[in-house]
Amino acid sequence: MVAVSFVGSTPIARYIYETGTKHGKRVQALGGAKNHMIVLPDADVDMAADAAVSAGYGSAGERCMAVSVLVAVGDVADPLVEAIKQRLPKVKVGNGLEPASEMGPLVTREHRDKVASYIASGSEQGATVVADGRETAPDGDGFFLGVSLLDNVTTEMDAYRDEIFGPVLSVVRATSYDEALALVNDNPYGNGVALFTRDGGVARQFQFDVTAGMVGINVPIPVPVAYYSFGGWKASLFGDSHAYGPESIHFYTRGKVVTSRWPDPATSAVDLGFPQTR
Amino acid sequence: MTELAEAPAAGRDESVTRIPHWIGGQRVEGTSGRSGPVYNPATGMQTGAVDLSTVEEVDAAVQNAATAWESWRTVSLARRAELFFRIRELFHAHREDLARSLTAEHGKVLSDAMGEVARGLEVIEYACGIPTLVKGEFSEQASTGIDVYSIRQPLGVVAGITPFNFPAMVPMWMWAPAIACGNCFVLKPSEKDPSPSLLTAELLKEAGLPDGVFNVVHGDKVAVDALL
Repeated sequence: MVAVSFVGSTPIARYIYETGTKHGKRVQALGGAKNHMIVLPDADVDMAADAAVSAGYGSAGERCMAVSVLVAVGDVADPLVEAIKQRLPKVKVGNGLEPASEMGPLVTREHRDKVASYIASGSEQGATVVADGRETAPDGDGFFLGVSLLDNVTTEMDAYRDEIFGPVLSVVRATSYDEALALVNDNPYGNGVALFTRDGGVARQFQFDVTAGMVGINVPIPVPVAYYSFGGWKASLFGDSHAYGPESIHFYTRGKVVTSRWPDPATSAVDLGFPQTR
Repeated sequence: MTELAEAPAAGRDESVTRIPHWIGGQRVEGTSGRSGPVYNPATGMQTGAVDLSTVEEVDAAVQNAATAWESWRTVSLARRAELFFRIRELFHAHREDLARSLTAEHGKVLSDAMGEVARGLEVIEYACGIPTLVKGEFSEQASTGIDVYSIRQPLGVVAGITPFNFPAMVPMWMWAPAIACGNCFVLKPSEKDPSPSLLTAELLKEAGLPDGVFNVVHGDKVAVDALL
């Protein structure tokens, strides 16, 4: 065994990287995420709301590229939260094999309960519970949780600090682009990030400034196509190769350089000096 | 629950399926006596019991892969590309089977599962271009009478440890480029939704991948530490 690729949570990714490399192995270990979607005041509110609902609750939020934090800048916050709130009752939660279902259950009962605990802790720590998925989960023994929306979330709250990995979307209100950018760049994770705006200049500056590996401009889940590579920055990836694409070819091979001469006895001589080109 | 059990559609939930390892091109039942429960998250019922491997079982899989590598590393780029085109066609034909198998244990809706498989297929398609991807460079007359060139060679046996949230796609991110590059692969999938990895193994065998090039060992921290 000479190399290990890992995708999972950050504490395990760190363990895999440290243990594997200590044993001389080549390791790429992709960890957790806390993906922010910034919505600037000039963005199209309906488009941003559609994107936030799709990216926040798709696959029940169990995607490492799911949007977990919505950063609403300036006066876009009230209309954006209202637009999302209107969309939530229409999300059909149910058995994944039923064609009408848009969101399935969580993977285990324990995980469902852990995700639900962030709605309670968010409420206790001062967030506004706009939608409570504990009240809208389908009946039965499946590991279901409805969609949840927390507003007025701040960086000290557990719902902001932890990777929830479930259908709980937090709204953080920021007063400026700079404040929104600082939120993303101060976050220990740096997997995906999205910016919603109509201003190309701001978008270009954002792509230059942001400390994350995968950036979406008006695209909420910027998973790179197969001929680019997938990987985050900071605590979202340990190692130096991203997954699939060109970096995977580099990761799964090692280079060899051959220096070759077909003998010409006439030029052969002993030379103990450092090899130089002639 | 009684009502569910009596309904024919839910009959599958009644029997708990044993989910074994895949080593050397075949299903291999675990010997540890330890297993993990696998649930259908939509019903809350246990549908499977996945064998959790011992250190010795992981070592056996790695040994098997190492033996297979002796011949796999000699297979030409042309043959590897040809094989990956067959793999692509077979996975594309069975994309709904893969999607259904992961929905049954992960819970995500089928349309989402189909999307996951589609994005994984794109990585397989990328791997079909392996002859171009591993091309080296050549410098003629780097020094007088001397040429210098670079080649890229496979590493040997490599492992992938994958999460529950993308039980088909994330393994594809790893095994497709790893095997196309000429490595042998040992997958340790999530013990929460392990079945798509066995379907993957069967499809790879059907496509013509030699036994031992792709292996699956299920497990927990014991297996992970054995791979590290």
